[in-house]
This record gives sequence, C-alpha cells and structure tokens, in this order.
Amino acid sequence: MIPLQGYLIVAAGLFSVGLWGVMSQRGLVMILMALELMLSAANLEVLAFWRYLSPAQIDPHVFAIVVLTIASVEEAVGLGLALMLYRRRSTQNVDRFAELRG
Amino acid sequence: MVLTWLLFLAASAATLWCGWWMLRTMSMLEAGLALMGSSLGAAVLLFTLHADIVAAMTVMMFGPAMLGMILFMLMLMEDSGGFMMTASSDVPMPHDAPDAGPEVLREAAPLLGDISEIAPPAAEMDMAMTNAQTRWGGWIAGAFFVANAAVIVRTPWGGTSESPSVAQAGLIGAALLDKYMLVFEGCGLLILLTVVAATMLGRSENR
Repeated sequence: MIPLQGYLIVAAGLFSVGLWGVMSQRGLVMILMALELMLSAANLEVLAFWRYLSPAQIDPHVFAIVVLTIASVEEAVGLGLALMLYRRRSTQNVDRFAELRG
Repeated sequence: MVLTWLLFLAASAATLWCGWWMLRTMSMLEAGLALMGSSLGAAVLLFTLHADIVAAMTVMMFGPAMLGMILFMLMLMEDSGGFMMTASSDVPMPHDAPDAGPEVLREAAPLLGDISEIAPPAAEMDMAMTNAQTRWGGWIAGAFFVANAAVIVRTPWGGTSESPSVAQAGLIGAALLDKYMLVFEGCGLLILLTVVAATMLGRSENR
C-alpha cells in the first residue's frame, strides 16, 4: 500500500508550485490558475488523511466539496474582476493595479 | 499492488510536471491545458485513495472551468499564444533590468526581426509573464516544500487498516441533507451570490 507520506509530499509539492505561481506571475488569470493548484493540493491532502486515518468517517468528503465550491466561486469572481480591470486599463497585469481606488 | 504504485507515480509526476509547466510555458493556451492535465492527475490520485465522488467532481468541475479560463486568457492576454515570447526568447525584459525602463525594449527591438514588422507595438509592450519576484518566490516556495517534507517524513502518522465504505455516494448525500444541511445550503447561496457578482462585474459600464 502506498504510504500516507507519499500523498502528503505530492500535495506539498503541488501547493509549493501554486505558491510560486502566485508570487511570480503577473497576469491575474495566471494567478487564479496558480490558486487552483493550491486548492487542488488542499483537497488531495484532506482526502489522503481521510483514507489513512479515518476511512469510516464521511466528513472529509463534505470538506472537499466545500473546497471545490470555493474554487469555482474564486474562479468566477476572479474572472469577472479580470474582465472588469481589462476593460478599464486594457491589461490584466497585476503590477499595474497598485491602488485600491483609481 | 505494482499497478497501484505505477498509477500513483505516473499521476503524481503528471500532476507536478503539468503544474510546473503551466507556470513556465509562454503560451497561455498551453498553460490552460497544463492546468487541466494537473487537475486530471490530481483526480487520478483521488481515485487511488478511493475518493471516487470527489475525484469525479474534480474532473467534472475543473474540466469546463479550465476551458473557461483558456477562453478568458485568449481574450485578455496581449500575447496569448506566446508567439512574441517564444520567437524572441533572448529579448531582455524590464524585470531583468528594472532600472533600464523602456530603453531595454527599444534596444531589443532589432532582435524581434520580422515580428516587429508584423506587430510593431509589441516592441513597446512588456510581454513577460513573470515579475521580479520569480527568483526569490521560487526560493520561498522551495523552502516551504522542504520544511513541509521534513515534517511529513519525521511525523509518525499512524494509520488504520480499515477500508472505506463502498457506498460513499449515499453516505455523502445523507450527510449533506442531514448533519451538513447548513453547509450545503450555504454553498448553494454562495454560488448564487457568485453568479450575481460575476454578472455585475462583467457588465459593461457604458450601459
């Protein structure tokens, strides 16, 4: 059987790649995509703990479904924001949006 | 047993490599496809954990979502196909020399060759997809991974030999309509509010 550590290390790797993406990318859409990687890693980790530590419980599945909901919500609002910002400044480069107002 | 290991290793490699490739490619279309590949790899890993419902939901939700992302990227990016970047990868970008300003790109314009004739404004445009934090961001993410891996390897996690129930769908459905009814309804309300918010944000301001 594959050890729990295997899944946790893959999830940590995926989360780190997403973290790097959030810090290094300039495009708003790319940052949203990196966030998707991080949420995907969180789901993997939750369900790995479920499988190895408490497979009789069903609660982690509900948690994973909530994470998937949050991922889709983040994506929809993020893309709406990207579209609005692009209309205003003709770019989606986050470096150009240094002010909350204006 | 061997098949499970092979599946795990292949899915892990695909998940991580696609995630990395998503951030390194110059083409936004490839980035979208790479994210889809990463999500698919994560779904396979969830299948190997016997979390069938969440794995199926991941595939069903992330697939169309990634297609939507790709569509937005093609609409919004100045260089969605990575044409300018891949054709002139030796062109210095402003974040390579932050103090140089637009002069860097002016000096680099001859390197663009035929591309500058096709799309002259591109020579004045900063086409880089990454910012000045790329290097130290990589170090931070790497340090985060190393610290996590050390904790994961050194912690005695224990474990159980129990197998998960085969009737997960029924149990999850029952939990959502009983113990987690409020959470379930909250998710529904959140999605409704998101639809309204996304519509408001996407609405043209001229109307």
